[in-house]
Amino acid sequence: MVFSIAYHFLRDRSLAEELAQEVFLHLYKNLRAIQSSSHLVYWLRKVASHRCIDQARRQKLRPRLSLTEYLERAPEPASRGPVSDPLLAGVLRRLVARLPERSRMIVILRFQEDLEPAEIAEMLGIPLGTVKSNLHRSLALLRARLEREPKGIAR
Amino acid sequence: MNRLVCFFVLLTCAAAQERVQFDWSKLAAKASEKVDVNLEGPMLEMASRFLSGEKGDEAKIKQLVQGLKGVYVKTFEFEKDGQYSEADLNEIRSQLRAPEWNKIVDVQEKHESMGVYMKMNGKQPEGIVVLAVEPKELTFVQILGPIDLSMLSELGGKFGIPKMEMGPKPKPSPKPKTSDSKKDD
Amino acid sequence: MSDFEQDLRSALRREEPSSGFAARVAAGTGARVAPRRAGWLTAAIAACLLLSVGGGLEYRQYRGQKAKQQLLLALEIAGGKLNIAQRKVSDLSRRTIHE
Repeated sequence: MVFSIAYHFLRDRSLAEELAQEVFLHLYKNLRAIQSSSHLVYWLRKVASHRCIDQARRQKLRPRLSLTEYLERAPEPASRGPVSDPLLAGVLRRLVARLPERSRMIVILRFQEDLEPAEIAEMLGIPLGTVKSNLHRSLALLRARLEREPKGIAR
Repeated sequence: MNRLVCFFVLLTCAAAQERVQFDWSKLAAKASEKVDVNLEGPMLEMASRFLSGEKGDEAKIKQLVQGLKGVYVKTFEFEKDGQYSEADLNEIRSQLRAPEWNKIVDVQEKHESMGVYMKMNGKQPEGIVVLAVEPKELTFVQILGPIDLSMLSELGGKFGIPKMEMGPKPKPSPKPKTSDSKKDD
Repeated sequence: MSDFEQDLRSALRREEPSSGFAARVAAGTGARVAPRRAGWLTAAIAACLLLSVGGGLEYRQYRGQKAKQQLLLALEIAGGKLNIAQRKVSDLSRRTIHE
């Protein structure tokens, strides 16, 4: 989960592993604060989200690659389960990676972690209205960008 | 454009006025123990969903909180007398003097006071505030929404909610009690 | 959920780290914490990875139970103070009647 949030956010496997390592070290130092197994997952998710956003802001990770360059990058690692269209999945992941940091994390928490907008708002410390409008705009933007893809990828 | 801005400012102010607001940080800093509950919107709904709809008592509480907009409780305990004053509460009391709030209980004793305020929309209760002031303890309760006081009284004795007597029982006149905040709790 | 959102969900499905990740994390943190605890940390990381498979469920359980406890506490305090108010009013009216 921690690695996965970092990987989808940062789009760099080694950076994601490094960040995940930092999160687990932080967990080790703060074990006394953990109240239950469900709290543990909540805590990990929250710390991972905030660290990813901080990391991206420090590095100003806003890839401005063209779609062709995206497609020429290293192949995606094998996912756990079958995906209906691996090429579409790869394109979507790269388009998500081009979103601004906060929007990117909102999308990841919504569609990878299956959190409700209210839960995302609480986790990121932002108003619920901001999450909802951000999600709405991000989905519209992703759809629009996907529409501009060569036929055979976009729905 | 200016009118639109003014409209939204007024709307924001109106929404903020629905709830009695106060900066508790100064009092909280002096308290040795605190309770701070702020449940509204999605969190209040979530709390209600986790109440059992089948067990009798939790089901009644679930019904009680149906439709409520917010539940806010602040309790501060102080180690010594005099760590806060009546003047610290002037801002809250001035908000409760607004026309929509009606003081239904006002008890003043030597070093304690208790006020219960109700907000009505016609005949429908829209909120309740309880302000209990004691030398070493201050409690502020605010419940917004259509609170059913009779249902709250039915839950007396459940989950530690003491039963409310709706009328005085015939008893011999008691000797005057010395005020003791611990006893009341 | 729309088809597009389903596609997003599939695309953002959880990725696993490369093999040996837990051991590498423990080894990396082992240099900064007492070595004898590195084994424990590996086990803890493995447990975290297992626990995290439930998606949003654990988060909701934790938050929901906490919110419910807060609600019951709030109603307990509210009910208690209302009861005290009622008792004080009753006491006062009895004193008034008997005076």
